[in-house]
Amino acid sequence: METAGKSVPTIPGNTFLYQLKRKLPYIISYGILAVTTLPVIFMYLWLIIQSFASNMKYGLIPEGFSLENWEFLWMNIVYKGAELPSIWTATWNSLFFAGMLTVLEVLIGVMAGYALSRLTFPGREQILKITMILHAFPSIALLIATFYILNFMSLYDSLFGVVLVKTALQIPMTTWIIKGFFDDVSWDLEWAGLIDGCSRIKVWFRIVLPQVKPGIASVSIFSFLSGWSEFLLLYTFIVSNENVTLASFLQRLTSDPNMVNYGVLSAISIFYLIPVLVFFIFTQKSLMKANVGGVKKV
Amino acid sequence: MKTVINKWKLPAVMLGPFLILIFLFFFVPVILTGILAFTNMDSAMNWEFNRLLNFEKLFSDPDISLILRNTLLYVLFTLCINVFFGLTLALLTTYFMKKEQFSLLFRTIWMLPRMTPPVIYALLWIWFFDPSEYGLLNGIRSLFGLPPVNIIGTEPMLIIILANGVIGASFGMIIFSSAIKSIPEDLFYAANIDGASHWSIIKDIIMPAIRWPFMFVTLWQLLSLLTSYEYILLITNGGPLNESEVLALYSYHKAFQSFEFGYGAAISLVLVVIALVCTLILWKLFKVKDMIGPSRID
Amino acid sequence: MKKLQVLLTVVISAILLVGCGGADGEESSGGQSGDDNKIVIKAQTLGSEVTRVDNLVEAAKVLNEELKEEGEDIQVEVEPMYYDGSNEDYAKQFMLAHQANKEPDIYATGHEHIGWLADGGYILPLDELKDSEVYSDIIYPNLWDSVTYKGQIWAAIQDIESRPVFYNKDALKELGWSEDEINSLPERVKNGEFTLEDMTQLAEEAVEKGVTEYGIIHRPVEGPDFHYMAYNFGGTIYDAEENKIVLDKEATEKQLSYFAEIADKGLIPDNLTQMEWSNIHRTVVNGKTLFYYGGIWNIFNWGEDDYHEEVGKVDGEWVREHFGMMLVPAAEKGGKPVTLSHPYVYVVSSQTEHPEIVKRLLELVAAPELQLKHAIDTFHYPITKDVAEMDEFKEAPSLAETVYMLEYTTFLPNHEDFTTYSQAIYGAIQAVELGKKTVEEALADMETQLKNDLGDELIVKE
Repeated sequence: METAGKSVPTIPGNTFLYQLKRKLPYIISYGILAVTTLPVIFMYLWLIIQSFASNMKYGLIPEGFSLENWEFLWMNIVYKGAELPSIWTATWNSLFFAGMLTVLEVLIGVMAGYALSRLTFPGREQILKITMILHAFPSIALLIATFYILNFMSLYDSLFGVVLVKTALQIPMTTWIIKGFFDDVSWDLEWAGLIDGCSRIKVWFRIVLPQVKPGIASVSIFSFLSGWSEFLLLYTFIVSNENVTLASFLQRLTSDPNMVNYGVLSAISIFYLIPVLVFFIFTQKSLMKANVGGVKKV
Repeated sequence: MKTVINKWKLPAVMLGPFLILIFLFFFVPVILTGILAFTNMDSAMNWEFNRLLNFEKLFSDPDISLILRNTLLYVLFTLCINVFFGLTLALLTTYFMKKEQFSLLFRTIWMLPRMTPPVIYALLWIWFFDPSEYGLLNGIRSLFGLPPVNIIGTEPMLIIILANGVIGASFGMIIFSSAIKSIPEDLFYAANIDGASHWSIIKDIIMPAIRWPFMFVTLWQLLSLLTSYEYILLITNGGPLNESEVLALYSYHKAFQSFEFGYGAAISLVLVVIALVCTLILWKLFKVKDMIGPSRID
Repeated sequence: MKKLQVLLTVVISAILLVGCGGADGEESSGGQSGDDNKIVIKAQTLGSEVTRVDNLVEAAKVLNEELKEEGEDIQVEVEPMYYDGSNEDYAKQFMLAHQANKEPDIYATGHEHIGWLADGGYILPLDELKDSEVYSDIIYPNLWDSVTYKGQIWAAIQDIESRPVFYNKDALKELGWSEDEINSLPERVKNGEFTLEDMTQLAEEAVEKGVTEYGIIHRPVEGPDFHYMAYNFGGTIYDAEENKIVLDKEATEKQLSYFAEIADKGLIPDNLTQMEWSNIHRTVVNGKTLFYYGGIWNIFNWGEDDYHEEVGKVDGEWVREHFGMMLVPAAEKGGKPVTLSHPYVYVVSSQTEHPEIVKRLLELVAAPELQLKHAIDTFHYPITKDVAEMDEFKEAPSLAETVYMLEYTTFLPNHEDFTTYSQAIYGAIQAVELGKKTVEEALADMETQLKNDLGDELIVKE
């Protein structure tokens, strides 16, 4: 997002003060950003250092570089006398689960968001209001009730059931966000498409949808993240030896507070963060390319 | 008749999956949980209606006023951070930052807390503030010759507000950034040529464009905060002595540590009522009705 | 449009595949006899002590041999299930699985869950076990108390541990104690010669003389340990006949006063109840405290991570050299010292289709070799005397030396609401240690809260 900066023709007196005045807001903003971001950077830097250090004096200063904590990358770690499954299986399972959730949520979200934004039908307002209110119920409070529903539908102890539940819990947010983006798309585009003879679905897919790419970007990162970090529903609703996901892998390591090995924990946390980071950067880059032209909100 | 079906076909298809999932796995559990609140279901998973007994029990609890006060403070302050700091971050990274790479870098850094598994994130805070000499903060203090402090013990509310704020801000940041990026660049060029100051650009171009996201983020985060408990559970567990216990956490404690499902559901119900009231107030404030404008085609 | 179609087809097929895969998985509920007269028994445990269910797998092999000899045409296979999550999640999963008929046949859990499991009709009573040959050799008879509820036995004891007080030998040396005195300390505690007051005084001496920074360290979070203090002061916290929790005010007051005292005298760190476990370990291992109310498995913990500033990970030998273990000293001279144990037990689901087979498995799993393996791997005690006599066990560092403590041990009550009490007392202890309430205030608040939370399930004893 570039603003035309320095090429403004100068009034007599192109002094240092003038330059300073123009740049001041930028300096202040960079400054604020740096100061507030510094603790966050520091926190994660420390995590990285801890994963590569064999010991930390004062908990702060590392002594001795070692790759010991990263051994899980190439061998199965033994924890409390039991061998844990390979981290790559867990990672793959997490990727699959999170990926599937994201696709489902985005699909349902863009369809529903469009309908709620552009189509007329009775009950539209009510649906919007109700879905927002639903967010006042956290998934944890609904756990027992959800169990009864799943059991009733014979979906207890199945991955499919968990996917449905998780998707259902996320789509209010997804839909609201995408709806907001649909609202901002100019009506001209749709008129133009319709006049040219496209059906509404085609208009939706070809013309309007690309306009809400930033919205899709936001939603997909949240969906992916929630799928990636999910373990509560898996724990509660799946009994048979389930496929281990990365999140439950981590959970295993922290289950006994006495037995936490912080170096290994730091290393695995960083490993955990990497796919999400990659996904985030990818979606931000490709989907955030701002749309061109069109007058807003006729 | 055909036209009626035709008219309904599109909304049905687009909205169908959304409605079905929401109904089955969100709406029905909500009703069930509401009913549960009036029973005495516990670990034996049998229930008998005990009418208002759960609510009487809740309000005669000696700690209830402290818990309500904590909830109010927590939600209010964290909401401010989430919304306003989130907005600030979005502005700083999308408007003031000229280089796309830096902008992405900072947004990524601020997403890290949200992406970190909650257990690890909590541990990071605990390590930092651990009251013994091995805590990070105290380690740094000892380098300066200062005695160790116990911030988690003396200022638990501060810690949970900050910890949740850091995570919550990234939600607003993402939504607002996407919204700002959707603003056509022409508007900015035009404004610059007219010699508008940064402040007026923000006020007149950006602010109106994010009115909808602003309302959405505020409402959504309000509801999220009222029902959030996970990080508080992990960092202070409501301690010491309920000084940082909020209503959502209390519901969790009762439902899942003492297995009093009925009682836990009742507390959730109280939370929901509070949430609904707040939502209604905010709705009126934001004149939401205007924003859910009707469709303009059809 | 084509791209969309392709994408949609891929997504929908993926979803269908998962859905079908999920549906297939539902077919195997516990104990279905498939082909070849095979019986599958599902056994589940929490955490990394996998020997708890792996031993059952081994036991099944032995059972199959026996069945062959008996001429039965059945093959038994134990399917182990490992769960990782919190205690509460584990319990919750069992509840839900039971409702949906997908629960394991054998469920390994802490004994204190027997209360709600029995009340909710989730498990079968196992009174016959007490008479069986295997379990008659139980290491100490008082262990049966932990699995008794409402007069019946509901579980087979799987393993047991103890929570001794660790004392720092190096510190005692510095205080001028002789080798003899140091090594005879556990014995003197056992006889009731060395009392709780003596312990407090000794801790004071160590801190005053600057030998150690702290006198006493205890666990920083809520847990079973604190209750032995109430037992020590002659308190009862549970009425087995009425099946209600008891707030024994006199004993609890003494209990709270003890913690208030050690805080007032500066024997514990200011913020002990907010410290993090790893820092507790660091404090103890680096010799900064004279006494530590710990658990026998801590020795295992100290060998897993670099807590010691110089040596890093410490092994059993090192611990033996620098630390001794003793029971919690009696409150009065000549009294009985105490400790607390938290046995893990096997319960049997009330919906199991093969109760007889399961009971036989439970008998076979107590075989000495299996018990020994579990004891050594996970740092617990065996439950029968014959294993305690085995040479391999006697060589296990620290385990064999402390087995005697089981004679003096106590247990948590099996009442389902006991966690409420446990949390209340921890809150009270925290309050008096931090100086936020006096003992009287803390006790009064605890009474109000318990009355509100437990209602009828509470008896208040003045």
